[in-house]
Amino acid sequence: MAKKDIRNNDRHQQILQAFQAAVGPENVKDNPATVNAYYGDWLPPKLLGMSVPPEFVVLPNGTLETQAVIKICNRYKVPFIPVGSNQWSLTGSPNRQGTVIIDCKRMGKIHEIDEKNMYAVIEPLVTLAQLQAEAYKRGLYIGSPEASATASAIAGHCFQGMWGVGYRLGVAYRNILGIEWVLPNGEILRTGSFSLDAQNGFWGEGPGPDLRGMLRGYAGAMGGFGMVTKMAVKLHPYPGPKTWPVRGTIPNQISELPEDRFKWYIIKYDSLEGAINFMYEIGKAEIAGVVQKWPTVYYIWWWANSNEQYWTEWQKRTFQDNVKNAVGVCLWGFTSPKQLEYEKRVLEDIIKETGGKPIKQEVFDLWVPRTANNWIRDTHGSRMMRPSGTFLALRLQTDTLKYAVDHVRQGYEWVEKFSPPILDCDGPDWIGGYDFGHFGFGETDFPVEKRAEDIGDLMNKLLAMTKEDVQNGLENGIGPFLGGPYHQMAAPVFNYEHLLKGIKKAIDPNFVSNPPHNIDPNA
Amino acid sequence: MIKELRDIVGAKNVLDNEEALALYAQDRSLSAPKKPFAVAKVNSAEQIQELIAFANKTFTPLIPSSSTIHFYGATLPEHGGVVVDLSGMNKILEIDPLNRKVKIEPGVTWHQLQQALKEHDQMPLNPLFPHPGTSAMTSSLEREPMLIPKYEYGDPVLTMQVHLGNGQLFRTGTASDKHTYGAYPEGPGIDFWRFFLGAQGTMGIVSWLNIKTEYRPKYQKAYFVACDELEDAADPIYKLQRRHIGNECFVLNRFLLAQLLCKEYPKDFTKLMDDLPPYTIILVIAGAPRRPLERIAYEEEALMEIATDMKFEAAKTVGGVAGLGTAILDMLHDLPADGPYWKTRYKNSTQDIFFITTMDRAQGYVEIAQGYAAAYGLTLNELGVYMQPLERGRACHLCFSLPCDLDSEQDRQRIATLHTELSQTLFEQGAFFSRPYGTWADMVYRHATTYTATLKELKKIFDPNNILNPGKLCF
Amino acid sequence: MAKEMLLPKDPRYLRYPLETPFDKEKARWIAFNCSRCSVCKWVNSWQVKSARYARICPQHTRYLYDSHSGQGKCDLALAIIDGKMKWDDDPEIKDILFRCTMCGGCDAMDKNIRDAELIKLYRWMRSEYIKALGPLPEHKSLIDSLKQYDNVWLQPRAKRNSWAQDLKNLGIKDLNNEKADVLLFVGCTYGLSQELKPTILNIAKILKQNKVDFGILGDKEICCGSPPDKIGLLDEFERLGTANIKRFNELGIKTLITPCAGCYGTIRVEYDELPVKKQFEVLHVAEYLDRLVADKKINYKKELNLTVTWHDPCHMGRMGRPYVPGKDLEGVYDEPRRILKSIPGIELVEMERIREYAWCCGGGGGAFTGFKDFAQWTARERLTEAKDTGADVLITSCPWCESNLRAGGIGMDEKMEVRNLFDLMMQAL
Ligand SMILES: Cc1cc2nc3c(=O)[nH]c(=O)nc-3n(C[C@H](O)[C@H](O)[C@H](O)COP(=O)(O)OP(=O)(O)OC[C@H]3O[C@@H](n4cnc5c(N)ncnc54)[C@H](O)[C@@H]3O)c2cc1C
Ligand code: SF4
Ligand code: SF4
Repeated sequence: MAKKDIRNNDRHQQILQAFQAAVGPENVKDNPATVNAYYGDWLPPKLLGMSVPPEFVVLPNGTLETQAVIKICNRYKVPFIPVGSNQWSLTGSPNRQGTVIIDCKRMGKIHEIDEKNMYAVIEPLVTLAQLQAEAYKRGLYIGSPEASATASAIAGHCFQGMWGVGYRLGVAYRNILGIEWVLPNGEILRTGSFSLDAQNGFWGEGPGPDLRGMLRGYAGAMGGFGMVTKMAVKLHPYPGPKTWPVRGTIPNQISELPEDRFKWYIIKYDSLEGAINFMYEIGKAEIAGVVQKWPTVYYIWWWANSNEQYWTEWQKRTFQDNVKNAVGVCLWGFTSPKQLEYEKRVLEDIIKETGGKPIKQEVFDLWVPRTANNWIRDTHGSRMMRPSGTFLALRLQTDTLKYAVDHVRQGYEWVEKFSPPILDCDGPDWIGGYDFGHFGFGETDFPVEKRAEDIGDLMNKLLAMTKEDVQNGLENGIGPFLGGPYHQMAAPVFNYEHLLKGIKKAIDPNFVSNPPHNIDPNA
Repeated sequence: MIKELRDIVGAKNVLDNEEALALYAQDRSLSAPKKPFAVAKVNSAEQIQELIAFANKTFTPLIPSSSTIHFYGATLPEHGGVVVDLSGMNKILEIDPLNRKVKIEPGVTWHQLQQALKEHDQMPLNPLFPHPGTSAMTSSLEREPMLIPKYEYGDPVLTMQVHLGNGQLFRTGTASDKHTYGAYPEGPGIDFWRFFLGAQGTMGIVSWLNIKTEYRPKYQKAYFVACDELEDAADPIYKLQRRHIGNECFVLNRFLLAQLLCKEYPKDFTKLMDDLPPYTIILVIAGAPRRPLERIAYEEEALMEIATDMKFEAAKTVGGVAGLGTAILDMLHDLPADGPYWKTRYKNSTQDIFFITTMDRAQGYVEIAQGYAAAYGLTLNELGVYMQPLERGRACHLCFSLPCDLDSEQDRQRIATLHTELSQTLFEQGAFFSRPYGTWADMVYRHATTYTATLKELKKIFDPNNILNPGKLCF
Repeated sequence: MAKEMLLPKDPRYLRYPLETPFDKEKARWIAFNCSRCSVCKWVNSWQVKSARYARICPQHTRYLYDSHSGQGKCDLALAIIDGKMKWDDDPEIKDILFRCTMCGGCDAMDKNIRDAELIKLYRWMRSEYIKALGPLPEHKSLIDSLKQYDNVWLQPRAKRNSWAQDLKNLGIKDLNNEKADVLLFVGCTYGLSQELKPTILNIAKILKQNKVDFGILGDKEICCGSPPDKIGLLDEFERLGTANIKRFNELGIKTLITPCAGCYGTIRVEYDELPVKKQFEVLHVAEYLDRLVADKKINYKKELNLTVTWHDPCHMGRMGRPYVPGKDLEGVYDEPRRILKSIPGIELVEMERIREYAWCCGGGGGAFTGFKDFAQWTARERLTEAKDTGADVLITSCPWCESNLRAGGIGMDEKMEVRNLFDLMMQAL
């Protein structure tokens, strides 16, 4: 086998020995059975033969070992990819031979939870579910993206970090406090208060200009700027119980939060504009903890407990006919049960004024107990892949709510144009309010059958669409989630080519941190 | 050179006479005067672009300055050069009440902004009663703490147009895409906007900025809690913030509150110093746009419940000061357009030391500050203490104000030494100087080695000739 | 929308293919549709109660690499089926396949998010591996024992007589000669281990006290087939399973009861894959006795004053029912808990990982015999969790769990007593 040949070559052996010396022999592997588990997921790369297994998987423990690994990568000029739960193969899987996966499996410590000052210091393996559980115990909480709470909390914060509770908490970029971070060149960068006291990560900014900026971006640096080994993240006051309320047996679980502190509404409008107007009014009134206008598929993605149930219910149009242009709102009584009562009155005023109507009670009862609190704890996002093996998205935008509407509108047109292979989705528009309605997020999500022919064709169409968008000066679509190749195309148009390439060159002189992400400085 | 400057901004907008230069050579800090070569008053983005081109060609430092008042030496030309006076660019370019944001130029003051937003029932998120001349843009960019810790999503900065030292005109966030409303800070590519915050004008000159606005309450009530020590304030605030109670929330010690409240100096001041408790928590409970009184009612009820539980008194006043609530509320919502700055009632300047910490550590720092102050002859009643809880009490901005008579060389000397020594000790004790002005820069960056080295790499990309405010931070 | 609906072309997306046999095509379907969500590595997030006890997979927790997880096994299966890798390409394939307790933790979590059967996939992989490379040396003694003695403990058949005689002395029927409604299927481990033998006697006494019409097969009882089933020796499983079903059907029993979780899961669920169909009900002894408890037929005499915690054996719990997509992963969860609560003076405290999301004892899937270090490491993790509840005793009802947990506990600083449910019950009677 070809792979065996690689393992026999001298350079491979030298690198292997260097890694072994750095992390211990059992914490580096290069055998086919191991590397085979690190190059694919639900996304197209593996299916389309665009990703390859890594040459090594290395498991450093802590910042210093990670630094040693990254220095070795620099010494031998071999590319590395830092991974969390590794769910995003578009940027988390090797796209070239000879790649090193830096897996965080030995970095699962929660170093500290400062209950009083509401933050936690975590390592990259720590999942959002773990962090949430610890937070709840202390009357605190943190969000979770749709991706699922099995994702690495650090990767989630580095990546997109849009979560259901972002309406209240903001997007994850604001949730990041101190960071300890091994740069692509092997230097250890500490930001925020960590920069001066490696034991104290309570504050995120500075000193002076804020280097956290390098880590993030609409879809983050995609591993192109080194590996975060420790992060302090904010936790937030939570009026819910100390353990997550759940009853029933997998896969039919019910979760109901205390009625005196939480209340869900799903309110329907005749048009998307009506729904958005409702969301604006809620934001202005400074009420609620979650405000989401979900696509019809979202209702069934998270609700259905088997493929059969999914497609049967879909064909009955249970959700399509009832939840189109509906907005899900969860009111939270942070202060007291009286706050919840107050918010109910305010929300009911708004519903009346804006002409909203609650969805049919039986649909509400069917859906809410089983599904709604997903938006607070964990969406079980991988259910999105259930009905057809995968899903894709187009037109992801964050700006104002109004802007989000315009974009999902155009998103519909593309979806129509690309159906099939896009499967039935009937209203694929997801719009979320963030920061009490200061921002609006829009995304067009749809199921696609996991078949190489269909996906390949669709990918090409989506890429062409992205290219067209960029040429029209339209930024921030699905593109940033593709990492390097997108930035290569978009950076000159949106005027960040010189800056991004300059930074990449400066901190990644050997171009080893997940090339070609987040940009190829030499292209 | 002057000719070229005149060509760019117009002859009347270039100041190079000694008198004018002397004005720009000094601020309200104790930094030694540093004279610029000239001052260019700009009034458009194009002029900024041209100035930057000129500066790169001639290796002339440019020192951006958006207002007429400076406290920390950030606009003093360390290496000469041209002060780019942006205060003339003072338009509010767009008020967007629907999306609750406003687009401002550098010279817009807090007063101006507050007044303009009033008619839209909106308000900016301003710091503690800023000096009337303070630029709203500069305070936002420099991350001055907001009085309202309740917005968990934190900083108000959205997007901006910025002129980089390398000559590039750059827009951050979704402002990079002309189709958008410029509301979202992230991108393009990475979070470039972060590099311009806390940068003291070293990374770029911002010609407009979009910041968040919030609903301006029509109904509100102020509550006061008297505390003997700062540590007595911490626990109530932790609790109140955890329970989402109140809008504005901060703590002033007697010395600062007396200056803030006194109308006639020294008469009122002396009385207030007698009457006020050592520390006062100021908490404003505000109505929302809908059912405002009902919101006030449940928050008030929760406040009282906590007060009973924790055995503190949340009252309409402290020290028997009449009309305290009204006075505070009036000031909050009508920042003065001009007139004397409250913090300089006692002496003609205040030399502040501020940093970020957590509320449970604040008392320790106060004790250090008091020890130093005493050693330098400041009585307890001459040391200002301001604690601003941030983000629901997760952290706090702690500020010590040292009054100083700028006209007395002796006082200057004394306070300068106190300021340096106290800063150093606080730093050694873990105070986080997130905005390292003046001499703090050296103190901080010497320790943050990789941070500093990386910042320098970035600086090379954004401002390769180091023309923007050289000598500041680590540049 | 009057437009025709665009549904997936592959009918398997519309309805998961459940019909037997589980073949290569089904294996590929499961492997191909793995989304790398890592749900198989962690307790379902709604049920995570602490960072400490958030893991579900002993193999992945112990060996860390993703190859050693449900997801990794999907990747391996796909590579093998698609011809990108062969079983002998890498010696580590053996560890990936066999250093796994077949506990079904991954399988249960996966079923929360998609229709799939990971345990069936692993079993298929193990059998294909063995077909290609032969059985594992680590399992040699177990296999030899099965072939020679029809039990897994290298014990002559007659050895079963030692307890059978005790039972006969109690007046228990020998179903080889007599008829009864209920067969008490003892299983190799309870049947042959001196240490565990009292449990069987206790069960027999409890049944007897309650006038249950039951009997045993004595030395004619043969292995249920669970161990060969789990280690991929499917022929051997078929041999034993078929022989058993035929025999049980012939006995004309209404109900088979067993105290062994492994036997229970195998007879109740796995036998459905065999061509011969069962003509009797299968219950765990706990289920059977729970009915008596519910009918208030059990008269306890003593108060025990103990705080206990219950360990859910995998094959009694989440693996104790056939899979129906969308339906609850039912199992024998509540019955033992109800029995415990019925015993005077017993306080039941729960571990964090219980029921369908319980952490495995470590003894299953051939690990107890083949990979003791791993099995006992897994046990120690469970004992620590039990200790953290504040319980005095860990109670369970599976001979593998009991033995492996006891073995794992040796040398631990903090001791945790492990006892059988029915022994405890007897103590109060
Ligand atoms: C079904 C689904 C739905 C989703 N919905 C949302 C959503 O609603 N909101 C949202 O915000 N996101 C969403 N996402 C994206 C999601 O945020 C990420 O998939 C998830 O958070 C990534 O976590 P991970 O541990 O799998 O990251 P990985 O896939 O491991 O990593 C993602 C990227 O970050 C880099 N990275 C990982 N760890 C580090 C580190 N320690 N240091 C530096 N770089 C690192 C990797 O190189 C990679 O490029 C969704 C994803 C899926 C699969
Ligand atoms: S839970 Fe299932 S789909 Fe997810 S990674 Fe594991 S095997 Fe794959
Ligand atoms: S069966 Fe158990 S040990 Fe094996 S992969 Fe699944 S969870 Fe892990």
